[in-house]
Amino acid sequence: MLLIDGVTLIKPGVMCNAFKNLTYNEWFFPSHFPDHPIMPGSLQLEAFTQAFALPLLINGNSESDNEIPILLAGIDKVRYYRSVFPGDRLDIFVQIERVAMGIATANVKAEVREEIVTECKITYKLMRGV
Amino acid sequence: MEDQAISFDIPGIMGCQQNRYPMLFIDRVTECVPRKYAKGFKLFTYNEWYFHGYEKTTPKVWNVIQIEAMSQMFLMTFLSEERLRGHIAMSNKFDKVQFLRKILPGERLDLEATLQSFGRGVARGKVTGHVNGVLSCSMECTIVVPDLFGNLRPSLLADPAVQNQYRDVLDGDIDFGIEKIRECMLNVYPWLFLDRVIEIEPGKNLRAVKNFTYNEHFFPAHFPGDPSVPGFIQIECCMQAFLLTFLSLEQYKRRETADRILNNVHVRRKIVPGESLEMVASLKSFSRGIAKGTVESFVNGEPAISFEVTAVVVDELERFKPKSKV
Repeated sequence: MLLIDGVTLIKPGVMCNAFKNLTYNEWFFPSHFPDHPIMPGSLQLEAFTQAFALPLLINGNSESDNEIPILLAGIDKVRYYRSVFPGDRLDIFVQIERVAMGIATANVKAEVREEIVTECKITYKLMRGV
Repeated sequence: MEDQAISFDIPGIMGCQQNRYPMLFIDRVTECVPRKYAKGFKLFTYNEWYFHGYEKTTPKVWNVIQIEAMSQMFLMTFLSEERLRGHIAMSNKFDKVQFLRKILPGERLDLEATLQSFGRGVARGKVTGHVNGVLSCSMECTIVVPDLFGNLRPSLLADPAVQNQYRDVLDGDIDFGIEKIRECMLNVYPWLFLDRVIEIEPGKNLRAVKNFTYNEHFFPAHFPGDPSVPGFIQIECCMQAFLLTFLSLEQYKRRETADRILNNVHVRRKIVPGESLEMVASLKSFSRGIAKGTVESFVNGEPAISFEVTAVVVDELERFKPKSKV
């Protein structure tokens, strides 16, 4: 379920640039859709939430207990502008807008070859001490 | 003094080498003298993942799976030694790789690997595979233990200039994506290792791209904590690029193919998730169903795997076979 292949730039609590390679040899392409493989929009959102979690989680004290430190609270204003195909590289740009009152929000956009494909706003609930 | 031969079952094999399901391709080591030889077998069953990647009713064991089974038996010749157990080993070179007959699910491949030399983390040797006592495949190989040799891994995204070069290549885009590739080839998921063709002259040469992402099934098992593309998958990617040089010709679309001989297989570079492999395949000769050519490949402009190959179009070759023999 890890949908990030690399991070090119990260500033804890501020921003994160990450990317995911797309290849036909992934489990969702053969069935989504049989003659026209494209990356499911919901999985793009999952990749975005993972890219947003990184700058929140590498922020300072990383006590490794079992409790979940952050929890997804909302995804808003999702817009898909074009499809993502096998062979594309999805570049994800997370810009954190606000971290306050136990809530973190960020604007996220994704590009393929410097052309915007998707954007949205993601909100995380910070459980404690993050 | 005679060396004592030892044997290994699956837990024993996994104690020696790092390959795991679904990338472990030997079942038993029946006889092994560390630093000398290893004998054992691999049983094939239709319930394995790679039998389901081709639109043909008769499943067969892919040649690169035979290469991988042979290399894993070869690993046992030196990783079975007490002090080397558990080390990761990487394919470096294969040569004189031959496939003499089709292997079917339900058959048993008896493997025999001989270590010819081992020093400074570099192992050289020969492996043969028999089915029912008949020679089916053989190769010479060189395998490296990076812990002992120094790591081969280049850093990911190291040089921004190189990155830009990679982007330029992808920008020169022609409309030959996965749909068109599937029109030409019988391969399907999970045995289709091409994403896009960026340059093509059918019957001559092509340039194709395969992206690697951690979400592919082989990365978690190869290896936990240190994912890299298995050598045999790299070979298969390039092989599919080569086959597409002639499968893209109108009269050869969706024909069944088989690779027969591989020479000078050089695995020059470790490939990690997030990288893209760019393959350049050239068809040097093609007649009577026999295709010969070469494949080179690059990651971020750095040379990766390359080899020389001979492959056949199965039914075309049948037509030209002498008919008198029974």
